Amino acid sequence: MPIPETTHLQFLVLGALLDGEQSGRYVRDKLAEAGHKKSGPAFYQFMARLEDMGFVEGRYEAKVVEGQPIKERVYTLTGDGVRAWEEVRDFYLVHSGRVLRRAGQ
Amino acid sequence: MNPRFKLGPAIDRKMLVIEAGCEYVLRPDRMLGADDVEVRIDDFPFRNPKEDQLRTISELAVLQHARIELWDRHTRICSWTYAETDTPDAVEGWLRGTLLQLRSQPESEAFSNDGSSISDKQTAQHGITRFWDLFSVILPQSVRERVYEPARQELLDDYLSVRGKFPTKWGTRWINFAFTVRIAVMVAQSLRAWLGDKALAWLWWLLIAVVGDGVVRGLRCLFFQFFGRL
Repeated sequence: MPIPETTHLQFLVLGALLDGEQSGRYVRDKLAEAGHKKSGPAFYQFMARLEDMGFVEGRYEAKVVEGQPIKERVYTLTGDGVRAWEEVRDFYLVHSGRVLRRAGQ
Repeated sequence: MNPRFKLGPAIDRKMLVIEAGCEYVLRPDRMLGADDVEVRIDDFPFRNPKEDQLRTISELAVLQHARIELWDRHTRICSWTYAETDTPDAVEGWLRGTLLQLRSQPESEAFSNDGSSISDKQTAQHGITRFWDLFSVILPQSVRERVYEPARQELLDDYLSVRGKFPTKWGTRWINFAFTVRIAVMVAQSLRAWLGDKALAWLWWLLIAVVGDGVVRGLRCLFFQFFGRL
């Protein structure tokens, strides 16, 4: 099994989007929970790269805060994104299984 | 009763703002370089108190800088600009379809009764937040769209939430100052993210150019295999 190209951070973000469409803020909070804090611009640049790779799709959704209309960036996982996430998951499942078996012997 | 349209001579770019449950928003990129159209819609319950007609040019001028693509299905706020690349007939057809759809809803659902105008709501954003836009002109357009804008909207969300909690004069001033600083920092972060990205891309390109793509891939695999053994 080849080493996946997807990074740990990308894996984390793709995993956060597995349940469906989420706002950028939500995904950023998930990253922060996992101990990886990113500034707003750094995070959205990271997401833009994921969009370029075809793993996620982003769009703006209107939202009203205190009576004022604003926009919010929301992201959806694409088919490629799901496959990339599964590839990393399978890779670690296979390799962690080998390590555990070796430790058991 | 169907709404009637009267297409008048070119006057000015106009924005039609309706608080309603419509789903059609004309995209800003379709709004360039077209003749302007004056639309008069009779017998349609606009919230605008000026009979059934849209605002005058001077009133609309306030709205020209308002953000487009405002659509919220909860508050039913919708705004768009017409007078676009479409021909007047196309604009008319589009508008007619939209308004007919609006009219199919009960008026109580389609319009709020709080008496405030959308323009007031929108122009309320134009003071300090428009000033913030000045900071972003230093950024290239791609960075502004991809990196800065989503982050700015997030900050705007915070700003509006906090401002609602401290509506006093000095509270607002302090919040405006604090968020202005945050916007400035955010622009700097956007620049950093952009330059960092450029530098990384350049270094990667240099490495590939010097040692070749295959070698770089091999090194990468070796790196992962080595750390995988640890």
